[in-house]
Amino acid sequence: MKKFLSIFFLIAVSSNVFPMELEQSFDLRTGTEINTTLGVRFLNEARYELLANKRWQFSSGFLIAPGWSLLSAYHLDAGYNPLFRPELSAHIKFLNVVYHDISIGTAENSIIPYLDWKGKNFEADIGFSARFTNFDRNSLNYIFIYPNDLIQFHLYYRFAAYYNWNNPNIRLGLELKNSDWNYAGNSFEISWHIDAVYQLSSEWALKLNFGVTPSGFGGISVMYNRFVILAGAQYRI
Amino acid sequence: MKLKTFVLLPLLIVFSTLQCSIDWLQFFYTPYEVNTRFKESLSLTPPGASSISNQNNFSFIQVTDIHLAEGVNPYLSSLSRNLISTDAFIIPTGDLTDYGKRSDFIAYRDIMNSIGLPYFSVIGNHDLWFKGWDQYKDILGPGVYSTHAGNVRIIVLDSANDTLGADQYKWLEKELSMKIEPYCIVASHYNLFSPVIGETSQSTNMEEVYGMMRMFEKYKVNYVLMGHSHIYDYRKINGVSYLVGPAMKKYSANEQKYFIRITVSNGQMTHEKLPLL
Repeated sequence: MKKFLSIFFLIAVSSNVFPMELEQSFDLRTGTEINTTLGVRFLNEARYELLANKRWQFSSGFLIAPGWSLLSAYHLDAGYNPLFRPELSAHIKFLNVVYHDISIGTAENSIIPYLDWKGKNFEADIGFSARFTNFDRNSLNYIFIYPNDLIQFHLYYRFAAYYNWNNPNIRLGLELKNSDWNYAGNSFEISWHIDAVYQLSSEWALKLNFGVTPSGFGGISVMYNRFVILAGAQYRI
Repeated sequence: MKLKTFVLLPLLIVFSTLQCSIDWLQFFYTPYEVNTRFKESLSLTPPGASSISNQNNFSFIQVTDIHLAEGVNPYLSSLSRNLISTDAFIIPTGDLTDYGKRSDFIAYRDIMNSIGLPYFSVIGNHDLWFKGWDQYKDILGPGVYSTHAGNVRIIVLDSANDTLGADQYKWLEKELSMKIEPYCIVASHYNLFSPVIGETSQSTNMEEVYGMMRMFEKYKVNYVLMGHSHIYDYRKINGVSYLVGPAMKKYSANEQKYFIRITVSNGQMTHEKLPLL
C-alpha cells in the first residue's frame, strides 16, 4: 500500500517538474472468489494506470483478499508504445502474491515480460512469467526477492474479444486468460470470463466481470471448482 | 477462402483428435468428479497392509503413466525381470490405462498380480476417460486410501481432476496427523510443479499445492511420488522429496524406459532412476 501511494505521489510531482501529456485512470473493484476446495474470499482491488506523452505506460495496483485465508498482492508494470504498430506495446511487470495463512505462508514473485495488443474489438497480452516461490515466512512481502527453492516458467496470456451491444456505451467481452492485474497463473490455468462495461460519461465507467477457472483442463478431466465475480468503477482523467 | 479455413481447420482438429480417442466430453465436464469419487472410495476396501521382512533395509518401486491400451504394455510386463530381493512393494502413480477401458484395467491388474509384490495403485486423469471410474473402482478399488507396508505409511490421493476437493484435502491432513510409522510416502498423479520450461502439464491451483506442501513439511513426509508430466523430475523442498517418475507409456518400439527404486537403509530414504532391462 505504501509503495503504491509513494509511486503515485512521485508521478504526480514529476509531472509538474517535467511537462508531460498525461492520461490517467483509477480502477476500484470488489468481489468474491469461490474455491470449492479451499473456501471463499473477498477480493478488493485498486489500480492506477498512466500513459505519458502517449508513449510510456505505467501501472501499479494492489489486492487485499480476506476470507478462508488472507491473500495480498501488488504489481508494478512499465510499458512502451508504439512497438512497430500503434496497437502494440511491450511491457515488463513485477508481481508479488502472498498467501499469508499460517498453513500456507508462501509468496510468489514473478518477472513477466509481455506484449500487449489493443485493437478496437480485440485485446491480447502474451508473454511468459518467471515465477520464484518464496517459502521464507520472514520475507514474503518483498517483490524483488528471487529465491531458488522453486523456479517455474509459464505462459502469460489474456485474449479478449468485445462487442458493443446496440449501444455505444455498453461493451460486452469474452476473455480467455491465465492472468489478471495481480495474478499470473500456470500455463494451463485457463479462465473464462464475461466482462461488461457501462460507460456513464467520458470520465466514469462501471464494470462487471464473471469468471470460471476449471481444474484439469490440461489433462482433459475438467471440474469447475473456482468462480469469481467482480464489480467496480473506473475514473479517467 | 478465409471462411472455409475457419470452418475446415477446427473440423480437421476435431476429427484428428477423435482418431486418438480423446474423451471430448471431459473438456467440459467429468461425470464423476473428485468429491463423488472420494466419498465412494471411503466405502471401498483398500489394498491390504503388507509386511516387510527387514524393516531397516528394504526398497520399493515406482512406475507411472503406463497407459495400457489394448491390454498391452511390454515395459510393465518386463518389470519383474528388474526386481531385486529387497523390493517389497510397487506404487504405480496413475494413468494406468489410456482410455479407462474395463479390459485394460483387468489386464493391468493381471500383470501386476503376476509380478507377485503388493501394489498400491493411484488413479490418473486418463483412467477417468469414458466413465473409467466405474471400471476402476470395480476392478482396483478405491482411488483414495491410507495403508501401510511394514513401517511405511502410504497415502494414496486422487488428483485426477487436478484438485483434491474440500473433503479429501481435510482427510489428507487428518491422515498425516495420525500416522505413527517412521516413514511416509504420499502418492498422487498430477505433478505439483512444472518440470521444465514450456511444460504445461501440472497442478494448476498453486494455493492448494502450497497448502499441501506445508502439510507434507509439517508431518515429515519423506517422498511425494507423482506422474502425469511423463518427464522425470526431482527436487527437495523444505525436507520433502518431490519425485515425478518417467512415463512407461509405449510410444514406439525399442524405447529405453526407466523406473524408480526407493531404498530405505540406515534410517535414510534415497532413490535411483534405473533403466528397464
